[in-house]
Amino acid sequence: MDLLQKLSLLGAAAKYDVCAASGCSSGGRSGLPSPGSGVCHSFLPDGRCISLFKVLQTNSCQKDCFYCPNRIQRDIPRASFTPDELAVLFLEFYHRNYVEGLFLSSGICKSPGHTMEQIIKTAEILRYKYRFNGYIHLKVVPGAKPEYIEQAVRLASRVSVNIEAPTADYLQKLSRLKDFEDGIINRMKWIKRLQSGGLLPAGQTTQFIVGAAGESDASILKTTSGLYQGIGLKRVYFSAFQPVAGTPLEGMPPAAVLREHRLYQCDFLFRLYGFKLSDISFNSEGNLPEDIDPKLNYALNNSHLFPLEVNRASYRELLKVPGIGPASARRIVNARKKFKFNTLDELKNTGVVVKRAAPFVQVNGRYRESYKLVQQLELWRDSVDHSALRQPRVISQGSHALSLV
Amino acid sequence: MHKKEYSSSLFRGQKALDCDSISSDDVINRYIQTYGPLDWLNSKKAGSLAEAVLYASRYNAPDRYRLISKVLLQALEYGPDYVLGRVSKDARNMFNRSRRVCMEAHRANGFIRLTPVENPKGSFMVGKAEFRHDICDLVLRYFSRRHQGWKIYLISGNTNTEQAALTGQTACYLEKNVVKTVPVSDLPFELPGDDFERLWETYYESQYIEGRKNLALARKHLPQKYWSWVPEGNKLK
Repeated sequence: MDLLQKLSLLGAAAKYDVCAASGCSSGGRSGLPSPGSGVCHSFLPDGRCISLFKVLQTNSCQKDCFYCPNRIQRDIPRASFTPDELAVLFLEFYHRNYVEGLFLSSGICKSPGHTMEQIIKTAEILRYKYRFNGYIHLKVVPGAKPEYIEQAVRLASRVSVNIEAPTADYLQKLSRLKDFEDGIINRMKWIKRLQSGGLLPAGQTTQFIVGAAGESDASILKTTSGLYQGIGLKRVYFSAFQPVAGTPLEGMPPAAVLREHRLYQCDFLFRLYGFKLSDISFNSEGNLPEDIDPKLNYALNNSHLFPLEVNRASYRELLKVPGIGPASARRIVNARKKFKFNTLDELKNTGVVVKRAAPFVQVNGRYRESYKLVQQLELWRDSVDHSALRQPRVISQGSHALSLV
Repeated sequence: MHKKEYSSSLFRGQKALDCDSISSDDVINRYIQTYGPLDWLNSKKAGSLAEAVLYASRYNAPDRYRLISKVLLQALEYGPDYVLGRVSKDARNMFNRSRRVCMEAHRANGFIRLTPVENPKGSFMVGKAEFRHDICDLVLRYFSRRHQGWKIYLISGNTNTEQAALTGQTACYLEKNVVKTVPVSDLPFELPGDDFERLWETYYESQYIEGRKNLALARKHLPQKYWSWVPEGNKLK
């Protein structure tokens, strides 16, 4: 098989993995630099960016994951890169400025140990032979032994173990051969311990397959929140399930990309806005409402907290207002040391999305009552639920009564 | 400085201004007399403001310096937080310009494709780019840091500049940290072709997920202006 065929096969095999060189600071005590976040080198017709050379070392795999295009039972051409071949190919891409770094994953060929050896060898060639100091993200395969994990952590800017599902029960629905506690969670804990030595400047991440095991958004977010707090993950990624022909789940409908989007919104609320799991509202099935973003949903369900006076509210309180993000909240708090906000236009200048924020803030005692929430709500909704419009619902009483007409 | 801008500036009528003859302490003292204590000039906030001014000064518009001086006067009068918080329309405008310049530099860092050339005269990397704002040196410095040991040349096909109209295509490069330009015909190497594009296009196609097709999103992030910079640009049509 020539290089072009291998590249096509092993690139396609890695396309469902989610990665980004984001959430990392430059430098690190290990001396391995991590890039500034967000240098995208291209965009695919599906809107996803290409910043890293995302590829598998091999697509031969012993595992039986029901959703996976590389599962052992699937009759497809199999290929492998040798470590030298892959290192040289990546450097060619890097030198030409096609990519910013390497994201290297693999099917589990022969054994987890053998697979990790190949991955580590590729990274060693890049680091030691070619003196590549840029970004390398290595996937740690489930069941990898501690000595391999330690080597991966020493070489990589970031490592990740895919969790795939929120609990052991759900994982059982996706794979009979993967062990949730020992194969995945324990590996994450080992990585956390190794990380404390100042390695991994871009931290540890993981990834969920969304919608393949019948799990709810609540269960995914509960585990996500636990991973951030308990294991200190840098990022959690979500990949909407796409059925692959020739797999046991080929008949299942694909998960909506909007569902993935709502999960990412909650993830940002956890990481950057100080939200807790208890702040997120779910529907009766434990899923996030698709027609309203989670932050606006929080504001509507906690209408007793609003409107907030922008000249007095704390940074944390401002972050809970729809249309106000960390940057604009910080600007408001700094600017009002010497200045009092009087108009919505002044708020707009700081970066606040006024059409979203107006129903939830007071500016110097004035509240823009002319803003009817329903009008705003319709702007925010991705699709209008006409049945809700037919049933008026009063959300809060008093001078700022907001009613859905 | 644009001619129109120059004619209405403080420098009108002066052939040259020798920056070394200006004492920054004198300038600061004069400001202190007018605006009171200015301790923030030694703080991080002054650094953030200086950075925004630096980028805004590279924005391609005749009134760029006028806007910057207005914002700096507001900073002196109301303090740095007023301006850094973009409370006034002018401050917001200046920071928006600064952001657009940064955005262009950021996209250039991502989307310019380089081709390596090695000959007895040295090791070179060649790319093509056209910039709206004055960011050539920023991009050259970025690539020089990324590819140490290589000399970077960026070829511009921009025929709007007077120089390009006279000399045809020009290439810019860094020499002792200063941007220099040279006609393409005088480059120390033949312009290379690169067969590597085929490998890249194979990889690019392998990454696409049909079920998630969203051309509008792709075009938002990779606007039409940059399609000629990248081999895969025609796939977003």
